[in-house]
Amino acid sequence: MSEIARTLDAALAFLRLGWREAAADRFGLLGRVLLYSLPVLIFGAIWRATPLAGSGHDAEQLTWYVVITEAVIFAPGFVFREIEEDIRTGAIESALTRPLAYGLARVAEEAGGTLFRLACLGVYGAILARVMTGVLPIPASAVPALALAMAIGAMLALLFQVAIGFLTAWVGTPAPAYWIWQKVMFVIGGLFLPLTLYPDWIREAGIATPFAALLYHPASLALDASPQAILGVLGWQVFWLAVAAVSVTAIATAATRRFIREGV
Amino acid sequence: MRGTFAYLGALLATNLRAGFARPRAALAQLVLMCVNNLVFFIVWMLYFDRFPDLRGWGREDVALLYGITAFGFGFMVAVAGGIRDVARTIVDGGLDVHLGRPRHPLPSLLMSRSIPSGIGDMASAPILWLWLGGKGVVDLPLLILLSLAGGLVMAATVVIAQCAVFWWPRLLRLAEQFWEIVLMITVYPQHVFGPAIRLVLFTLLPVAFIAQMPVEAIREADPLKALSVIVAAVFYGALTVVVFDRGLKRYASGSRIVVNR
Repeated sequence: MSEIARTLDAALAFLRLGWREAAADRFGLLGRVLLYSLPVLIFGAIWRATPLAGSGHDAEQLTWYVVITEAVIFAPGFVFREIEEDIRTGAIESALTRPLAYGLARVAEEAGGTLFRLACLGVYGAILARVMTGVLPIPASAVPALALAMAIGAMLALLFQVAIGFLTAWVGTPAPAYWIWQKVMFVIGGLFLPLTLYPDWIREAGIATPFAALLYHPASLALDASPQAILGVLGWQVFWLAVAAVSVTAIATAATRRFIREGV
Repeated sequence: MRGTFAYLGALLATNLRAGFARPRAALAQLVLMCVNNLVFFIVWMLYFDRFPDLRGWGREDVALLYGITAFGFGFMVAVAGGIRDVARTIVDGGLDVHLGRPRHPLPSLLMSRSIPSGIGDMASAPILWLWLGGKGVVDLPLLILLSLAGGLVMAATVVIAQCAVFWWPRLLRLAEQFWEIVLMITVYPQHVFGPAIRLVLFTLLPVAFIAQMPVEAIREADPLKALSVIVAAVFYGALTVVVFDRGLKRYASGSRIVVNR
């Protein structure tokens, strides 16, 4: 077995482990489902109360939009805190001696949990949105593309969090960086207000950012699920996923070098 | 009574000293939390730029709501940061430390730590009220009073929910997430909900008293609504003590030996 195949095999084992851990945490999932329901219900009510005439969207479409963005947000959890804890407690030291890189192992394990939770929230959210709105704005043929776009969005969120977690090596506590990143994502990414409703200059600048690739692009399929729209969404997402993967690898490598040079 | 206040004052002073033990990190958290709140409000500015009316509410009303939540929540975690760990402490047997003291264990449990970023939350509130909410300096005393009362309702709601682990320890994860649930509902306008949900928000899950009712009291200059927030704070505060004391009877010691240096 080649080195790459062994690495992939080990990463897949971590991914399966993360999936099983998330599946075993039933009360955690219940809490997350409850938490996820709240913004969906709140924003659903806000959109029903909003005078949308002339906006080009209706309350049903926008409720589905929020169902998608919130599922992407809620699926990854708070991996940056776990990385921070590993660094602060020194637990990362033993992980660094293993043949699989700590960062890759962490990403793979968290990706497994994230995908499990995304699947649960996706199915639950679709049922909730159908009950709330009475419509299905996305054609069945576009559902696989939507699922893929949501998965890429959640993976982008996960990679951002891993990068923020590794910042602990330099800044001590990464929570403030996370808060700012999260709020910028909510604003530029279009958490409940789609970028199509923003002023032109913000929309044009925002649409090309990784924040939009994370939230707006997958959720925009609730507004327009044409083949051209799907291609555009996946194009942006794959581009930013590649950029994020390279960036996280660079940050993790730099942090690991620092640990080896200066200790944890 | 004087002894109790001296005890609470000493707890608070100790926690604040501990919270600011690394002053630069604490200050950074404080400033960034303030910035964080203001950045989030941009979403509402964009919303009201596009839709000037949300069933009778405008940008100023949401700014008041967000500021009141930020001030109440910030005060709560700055003074009584242990609120977020109540359920974990009970399940881990960590209450032993607090039961050994010659006072009721609840204050020392809640005031077991201070979270400096809470002061950043509090600092963002006047900006939201005065700049974005269109209020004047003369309105500050009432805003602060109602925010503190709302913060007490929030603390009470979160603690009561976390006390559930006295009876059902398996609910730990759910109980730990409860404060997020409360916060998430509080920061959004609740007048858009139908009467059934509003009834729940005024009784079973009394988050309407945290920020929604204070905003309505200020918007409508209604002293009865303002008074109802104060009464709710007293009622749910007292209920917290009752529920905690009931739960305490079911508490099994963690047999924990802790050496505090």
